[in-house]
Amino acid sequence: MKSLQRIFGLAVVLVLILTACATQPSAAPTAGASQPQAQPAQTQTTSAGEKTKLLIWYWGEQEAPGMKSFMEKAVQVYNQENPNISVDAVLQESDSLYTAFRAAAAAKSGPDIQYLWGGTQALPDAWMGNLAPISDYWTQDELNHIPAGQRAETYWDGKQWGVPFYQIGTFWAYNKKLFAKAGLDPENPPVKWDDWMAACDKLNAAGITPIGTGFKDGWLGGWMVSYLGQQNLNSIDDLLAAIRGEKSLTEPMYAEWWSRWKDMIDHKCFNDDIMSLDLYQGQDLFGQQKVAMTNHVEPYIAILERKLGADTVGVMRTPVYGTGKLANSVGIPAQILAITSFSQHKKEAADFLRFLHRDDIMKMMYDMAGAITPDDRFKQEWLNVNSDKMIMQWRSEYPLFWYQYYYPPVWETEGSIALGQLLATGDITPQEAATRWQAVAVKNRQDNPSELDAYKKWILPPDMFK
Amino acid sequence: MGQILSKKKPVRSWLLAYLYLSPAILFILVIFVYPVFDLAWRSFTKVRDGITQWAGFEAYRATVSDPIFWQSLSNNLRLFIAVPILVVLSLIIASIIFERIHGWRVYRTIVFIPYVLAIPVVGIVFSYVLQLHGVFNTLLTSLGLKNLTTDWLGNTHTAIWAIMFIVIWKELGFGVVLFLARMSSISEELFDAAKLDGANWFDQLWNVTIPQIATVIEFYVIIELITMLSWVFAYVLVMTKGGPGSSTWVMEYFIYQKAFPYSQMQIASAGAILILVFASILMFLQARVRRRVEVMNG
Amino acid sequence: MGNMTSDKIQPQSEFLLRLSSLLKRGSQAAIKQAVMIFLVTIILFPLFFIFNNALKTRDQYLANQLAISLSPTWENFIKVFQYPNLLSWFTNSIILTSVSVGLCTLIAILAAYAFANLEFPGRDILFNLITPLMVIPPIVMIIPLFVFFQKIKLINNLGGPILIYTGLMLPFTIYLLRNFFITIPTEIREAALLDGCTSAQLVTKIILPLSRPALVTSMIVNAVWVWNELLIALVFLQTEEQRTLIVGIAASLQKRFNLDIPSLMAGLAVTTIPMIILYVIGQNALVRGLVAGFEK
Repeated sequence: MKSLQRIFGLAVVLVLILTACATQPSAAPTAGASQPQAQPAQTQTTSAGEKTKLLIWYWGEQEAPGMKSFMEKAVQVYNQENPNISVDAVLQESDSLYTAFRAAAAAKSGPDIQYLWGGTQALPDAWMGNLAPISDYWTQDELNHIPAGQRAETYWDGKQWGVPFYQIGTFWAYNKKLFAKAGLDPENPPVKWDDWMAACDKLNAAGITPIGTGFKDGWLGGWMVSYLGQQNLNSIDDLLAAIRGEKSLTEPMYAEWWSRWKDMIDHKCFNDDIMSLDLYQGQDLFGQQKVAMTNHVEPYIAILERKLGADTVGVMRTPVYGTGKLANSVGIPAQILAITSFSQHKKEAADFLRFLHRDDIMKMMYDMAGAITPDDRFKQEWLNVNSDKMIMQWRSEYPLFWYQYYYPPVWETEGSIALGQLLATGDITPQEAATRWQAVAVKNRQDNPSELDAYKKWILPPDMFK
Repeated sequence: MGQILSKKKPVRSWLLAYLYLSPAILFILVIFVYPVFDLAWRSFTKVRDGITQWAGFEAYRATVSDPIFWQSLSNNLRLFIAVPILVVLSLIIASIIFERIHGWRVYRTIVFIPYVLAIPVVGIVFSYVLQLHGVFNTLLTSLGLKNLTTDWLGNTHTAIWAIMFIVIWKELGFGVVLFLARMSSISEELFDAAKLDGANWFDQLWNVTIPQIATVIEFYVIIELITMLSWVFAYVLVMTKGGPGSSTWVMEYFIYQKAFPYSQMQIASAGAILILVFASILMFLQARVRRRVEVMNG
Repeated sequence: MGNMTSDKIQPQSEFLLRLSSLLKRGSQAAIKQAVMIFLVTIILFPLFFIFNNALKTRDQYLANQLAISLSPTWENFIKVFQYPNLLSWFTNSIILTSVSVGLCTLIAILAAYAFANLEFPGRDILFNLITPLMVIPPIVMIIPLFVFFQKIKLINNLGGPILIYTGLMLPFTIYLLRNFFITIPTEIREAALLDGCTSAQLVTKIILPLSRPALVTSMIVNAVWVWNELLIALVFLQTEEQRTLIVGIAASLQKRFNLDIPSLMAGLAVTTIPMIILYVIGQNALVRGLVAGFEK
């Protein structure tokens, strides 16, 4: 044991020395403390003959598989076409996407272009001064190619902050074969609320679990509020008014959706182990063909359709119960790319973003990652699966609104997630949920006055939605 | 206790002592003292438009008026219930092993294994075992107890207790080994005397074993109380993320959530200071109780 | 007692007495065995779940979570080992654990020696201030340290957690070692000094060897703690390459294998095996250390 101790002591000293050596290099060049090790690119000013370097931190492989390969290829193409610019794109992890960016912003050194989830998951960084508005670099004509409903999510204080990168049409995938087995029309899924409840009953009667999903990790809450919460609203501003405190969430316009969620629970629309499963695990039940429906996003619905066949997988909109102008709105929010406020090459960054909206590049992203660029120049004929075609059609037919990207994050963690879980477990009634949600909103306005100020500047000009 | 060993002048031995102590003191200043002061300062300020200003008790008011704060605290209190359970179970099992029943060495080895496993590992496994369609419920059903099955971690009434059970599962071995170690130094004569008096197994435990290992029991109680207050974050993070609803939030989770996802540093700091105060009160009470027990025992 | 009848009765009742006590002991022993077997089952079941299911394919697992894998496959372990950053995670954990435990032990030895064997003003006060620090939840330290480390660019650097772990383990280690050092008889120390030992030699040649159980105990307990630690590693090491094994498995691996439970189980198995090996090796020393450490 004594020699063991000696060896151990020596090992410790050795490792100490090694660590000291090993940690030196990584400490020195990283001006932004959490830059990934592999990154040599830094933002520098150009001098004659030197390349301008652009660093992009992005996400999306997790949502649209193939995104990584696409970015690598796109960057390659751009670098070839622009010999005096060298672009480097690094895929980020979900857990560190925001923390890494915030650290870089604090150090004022890092990426030139940052990917963010859209809406109120991007705007706080604009409020914090970490982003530079794209509207300073793109003309209004250029911006107008992006559907207004998707621009609105990051349009604030008169400027456009985010460039929609790809859209995530969020709908319900349904299994045509299981529908038929239960006596439902496989080509005409329910469109009205009562029909949907009746469909759940029929599926249950046939021994088929209607919807398979998972609520253990909480994410489902944001989906449910976005599927159901807006159906009595007449405009995006109706929601913003409630956020500003001008309306109460206990009013029927804002509260009814809790009761409709309860409908679904009462009709046993959901799998019984919904609280045991994470979201992906619940969705996987659909992939295993054990359930008739699941909530899913566009790139994945396409993957399912390709895997199981178009005669098995169909896509449907959330059936309608509401009476507002947004009753039949569809959720096709956009994840965004934004120019960082500390970038030394904002103009070049804006150019690269323009490049991503070029016809051949948009087609490449769809082919490689199944992701659709929110741009009216995206051609219908490029689409190669039914579900994508239907979704694109709906985008032009119905108003666009994604609740989750407009409300403050606290409304989700302490509202649609926490209260939703309590609703799902039967611990609270819809009325209690609405009351408690209002309490959350009131407390949030009190605790977060600067957030409230920012919301007051979120005004969407009506002529945006021509 | 230590005597003055050095024949050098006393001042130099002070210097020597403080020299030896200096690295430790440095670390403790940086890792413990600095954060506490920083937290205290931070809990009285707020950041508005990038400027830090004095906020008085705002953060404390916000924290104390937050129902989730109280839910977190009450969950930690619920977890305290695990401590007497742990003591009783450890005592019983240590006694059994101590009797050297057949296979006692194997039992002693196995009993400590949960303690060396990582909490995330334990948490992940149990979250699959306790699913609605998981193995535990399958077992219950096969025993004819189908109406006892539930989504253990997804049911607001059972979730925190399921977590408590898992913490007990993990911490039990530590108590057993600790008690065993101490038991082995109890002199045989005491047991012989008790047996002559006609004491059965339980009597021996109550009258001989427990008083002899009382100090170790007290140590274990303190360690486990600290565990239930300060070391359960990983269970919540891995198994329930505070859900369903907020039924499994604990103090550590409250502080973590307010600090990181919410970026409400001042509220997290206020919560942290409050939990420090709570822990200090606990320590103080414990010392009082111990002193009173010592007085009673003469 | 000289009566014939009572002579006949005595052996009978004695036999019955012996029999009944044997039965009682037997049934008591049986109960005790049953209790222990029940306990062992509960303890080992999660391990069984991990290792058994790690050897199944995804379909086998979905079919029956409990069944023993009759046609075990190693494909899940291969998947785990092919996970890009597994080796870095493993190395990071090793570095973190060995350096912080080593550093902490060194510093604690010095401090414990001072507390146990030297006299100086404020000794007891200081010691009684340091020991209760064990109570503080680490989460409390993390916020200020995180902000501070961000400023000095110590995030995503193994040095950060090393410093924090060292500091966090000090109160416990100092407490343990000091209580042990005190038990070393003064005669031994005085004899050594009279023989011309310097203070330093006293420590290394006399005190440390005698304190082996306490040292081993504290090193093992600390090593287990650092290796298994989640929160600090999670907050201070944020990029994939910098993560520790536990964080990597709990965060990244769990997400990646969310739908492939057997591979997740293989990942858990990989994390667990080093600790079990350490435990089996250090078991005896650990028990001896616990005995010695808490004797008053």
